[in-house]
Amino acid sequence: MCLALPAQIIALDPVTNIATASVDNVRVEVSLALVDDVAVGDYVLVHVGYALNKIDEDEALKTLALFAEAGLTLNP
Amino acid sequence: MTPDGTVHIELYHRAGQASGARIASTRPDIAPLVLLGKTPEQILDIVPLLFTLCGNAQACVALLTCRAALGMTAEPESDAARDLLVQLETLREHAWRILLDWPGLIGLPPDKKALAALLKFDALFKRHLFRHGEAYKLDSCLDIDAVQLTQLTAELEALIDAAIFNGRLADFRTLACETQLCDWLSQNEALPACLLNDLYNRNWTAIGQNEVDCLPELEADALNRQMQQEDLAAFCRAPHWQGRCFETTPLTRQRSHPLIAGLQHHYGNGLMVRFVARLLEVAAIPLRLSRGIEQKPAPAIVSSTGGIGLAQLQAARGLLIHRLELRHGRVYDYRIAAPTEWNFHPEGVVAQGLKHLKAEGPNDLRRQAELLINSVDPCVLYNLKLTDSHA
Repeated sequence: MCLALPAQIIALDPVTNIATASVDNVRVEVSLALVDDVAVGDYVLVHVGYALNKIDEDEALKTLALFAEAGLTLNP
Repeated sequence: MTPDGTVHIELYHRAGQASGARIASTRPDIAPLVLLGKTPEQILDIVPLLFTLCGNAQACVALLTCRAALGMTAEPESDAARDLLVQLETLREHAWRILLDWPGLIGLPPDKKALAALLKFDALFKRHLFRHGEAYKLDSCLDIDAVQLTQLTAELEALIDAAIFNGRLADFRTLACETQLCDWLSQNEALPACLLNDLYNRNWTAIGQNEVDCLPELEADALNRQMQQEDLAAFCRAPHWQGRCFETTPLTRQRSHPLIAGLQHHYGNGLMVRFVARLLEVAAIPLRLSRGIEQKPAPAIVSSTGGIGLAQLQAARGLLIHRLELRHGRVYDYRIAAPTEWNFHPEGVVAQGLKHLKAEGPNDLRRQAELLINSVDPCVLYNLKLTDSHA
């Protein structure tokens, strides 16, 4: 069973529908094919290279804080 | 490197003939790290944030575990509604990985429009089953809109029928033996038909076959007793039952289906049987959803003794176990044994299946290994390394 990682969109290419997202300050390429209306600064849940859904910032920060509390990420 | 960890798989071979497999996992055991000292209410806030992919199963079993540890009584009607949500999630997890992965296995592009449509049903079902869509709190209240649920279920079935079965879902549901399956596959352009025909054409139907048995139903008190006698962290990293490895997958749930029983006679627990078992679940779940909460849910087996709660239920990938020990109303210990750890145990069903692969060369061996892993758990993040043991 897999953890759901919140990632913040830091750049996106509307032509390819691929975004660059930051997960714990690691940059990853993410397909936006499964979500609508994503903008730079939004948080999305990422799994196997796809953004699964958009989540609000409060929920994303809470989740990141939990990962940080567990010592699994560097930054809350 | 991301915090969800990876299963590292090294497959030793000589010219495509497997000779051994080594599996090591860096997947974190996050529950005891995050939940220590929390109240049951906080557990039920935190678990859905951590596990969004199988979030319904995780949140549901967490709720059952908390209720058991607190000595609370069962809620049959609400739990039946929660079972519907877990079933819906199982369908979504199977279907979206079929739509995402299977086209690639046979050289086609994925149907992303259907994938996006699938992901939207969960919130809608919750909204029409529970007040404010809150299904997994100690004080959640049923608030059922039967008309909307019936409509949603019909829309979901139509989506599955069109996107996966190419309009032949009803025929697929009637299959009871391999001859009927082969008839269904004939002249059929549905995605599963393309994949299963490819397995027949390559003679890969029994690939991955091995002797690891399906996990029997575990009696909750006996499981709790076994866990109490063990190092819980070690158990959750590499679970076993009475000293043996078992698999827990859709095949475990579907093995009594006549089509699966017939296929197993020829192909053991190889690829054909695993992919068909998953398809049977995809085909059956819309019917279960259409019967609504009058259906008695599959029992989520719960054990409760002196502040310790243990619950288990069938999630998309297999059996999910939570065990909670409360002291003074707060978490003293919380453990999760997930199906990934049963199936990717160093001596488990994937390791044994990989050891028996025989391909014509390294490229085919890699493809067989990837198919086997996908057929057991299409969701797990893994790294596969092939090592020629005689190079």
